[in-house]
Amino acid sequence: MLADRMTSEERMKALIEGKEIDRVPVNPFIQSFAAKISGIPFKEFFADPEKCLNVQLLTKELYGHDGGFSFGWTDKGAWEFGGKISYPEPNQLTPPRNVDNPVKTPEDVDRLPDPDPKKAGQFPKMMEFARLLRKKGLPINLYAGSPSTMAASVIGKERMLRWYYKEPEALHKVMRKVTDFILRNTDWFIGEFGAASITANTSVPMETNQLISPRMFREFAFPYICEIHEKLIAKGVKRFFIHLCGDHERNLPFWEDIPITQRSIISIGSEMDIEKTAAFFGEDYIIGGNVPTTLLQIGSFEEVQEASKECILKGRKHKGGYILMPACDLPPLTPPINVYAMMKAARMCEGYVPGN
Amino acid sequence: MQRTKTEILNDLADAVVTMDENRAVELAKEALQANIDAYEAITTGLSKGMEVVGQKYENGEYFIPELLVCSDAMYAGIDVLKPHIKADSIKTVGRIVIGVVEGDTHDIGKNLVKIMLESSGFEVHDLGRDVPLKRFIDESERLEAQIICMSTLMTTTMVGMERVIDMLRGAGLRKRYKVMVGGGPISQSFADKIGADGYALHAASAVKKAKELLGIS
Repeated sequence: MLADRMTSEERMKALIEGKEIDRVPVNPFIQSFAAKISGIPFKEFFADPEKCLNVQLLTKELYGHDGGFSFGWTDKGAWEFGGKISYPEPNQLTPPRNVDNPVKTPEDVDRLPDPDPKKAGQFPKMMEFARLLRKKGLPINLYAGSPSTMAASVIGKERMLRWYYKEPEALHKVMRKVTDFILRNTDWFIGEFGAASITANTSVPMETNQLISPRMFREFAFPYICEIHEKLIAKGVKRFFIHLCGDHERNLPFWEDIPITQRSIISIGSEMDIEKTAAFFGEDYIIGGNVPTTLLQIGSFEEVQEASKECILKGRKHKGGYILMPACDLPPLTPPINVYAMMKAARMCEGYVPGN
Repeated sequence: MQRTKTEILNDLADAVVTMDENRAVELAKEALQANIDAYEAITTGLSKGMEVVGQKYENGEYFIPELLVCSDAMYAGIDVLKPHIKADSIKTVGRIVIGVVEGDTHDIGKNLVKIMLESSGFEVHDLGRDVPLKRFIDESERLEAQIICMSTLMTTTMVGMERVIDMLRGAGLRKRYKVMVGGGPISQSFADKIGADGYALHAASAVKKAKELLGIS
């Protein structure tokens, strides 16, 4: 098994440039796992940008992985638009949760504010975190949605799923509101850091075909994702990280028309196939994924290593490049040795030229 | 011209499949006026429609929004018919306690499973979400349930499912209940590992599994 011959920064730069690298990169998609293994309360991880970054830095040092750093939790929207959240209790290993949703009726939609990201919900601390990264010369991620996921937080997920049929006009109004909010935030970040040096992150859990049809994706999600991407590219954003959370197989044809800059990364869940997805997006894009998260949490070291090897064997054939990743955020209860299993599997695949 | 019972029952099913809440209500009223037994109108009209909806969901034609809105039509019809149900006409195929495990508030999946189980004739007692683990057992004992259904969307809370099973064993109650688990991070291998009796990938298959566990065809 080879020791790493490149730094993570060198490896990722070479991957994006399509050059040979020492091994398949590994992004364990670490977030609150860092809190768990460091022993800090989850409340502190989600409330204190400095502590959040510190434990992620130490975790990266421990494993030598190739992932970045992030602050915040997926459920953005309710708090930002006037709802309340509750932070986890000391013994809870969960992110903050929405106590209520600002919108319960179509009439509530017309009363929604236009929040300023500098003051709304998670976003001021997301900026604080990004500033810490910039001070350390580390890469910054820019939240680019998805609007559907944010709308679901504002309206409530089950209510939103009904509104696709029952209140489509009200739903579009909420989508408009959240899209505008996302764009105000992207303007803020771009103004502060410059567009060329940040990676726009779009994660699409509410758009999975396990929830909605391709038809609903086309009507309600696609236009807003496109708008955000077009505007970010027009402002100079050079790279995206797209996380297709869940099964997006039937939405894929629409992704052909969503603007994504070349050499962006598309990561997939365990419901999708690495080779098929890689073939669909083509050589201009890097594919990441998709060791099942349940396996990471409950599987043995050997099982995780084997699953990682299978992913690598599929992914390394893609000429666009491949990153070994879990199917989604690394579960905080993942035995730490299983993250090492992923790293070991990648290090055992000697020398990596995308496509070989 | 008076419509036949078959026509009305078929239309009740169709109103559910086509997500037509208003039509389901009108047809439920028509069924009562035509002296169709209220319970029969539910089981062979509305619920039959929900069965078709379940099949469409399994076939990939319907998705979660469709399932929810179809169920709204079904329940709208049931609300009209329920007060007219004769107590001795109710035939429950099984009694189930269902809930989302402690620490988790994601309940769409659980709500869908509940809808499909109820429409298939199960008596379902919904404990809601973030259910303290012992409550699954306490309520099952109180209600004399046959199946305990647990749901979660989070890897951090799925460990609670195994704890419930361990608690059942500890109390000498394991054989009294069938335990079904489901949710995003759950898999057959996880269900096997924790000693659950059944795992369902989605709401439609939960019905089949529940019937199988109780030996019902």
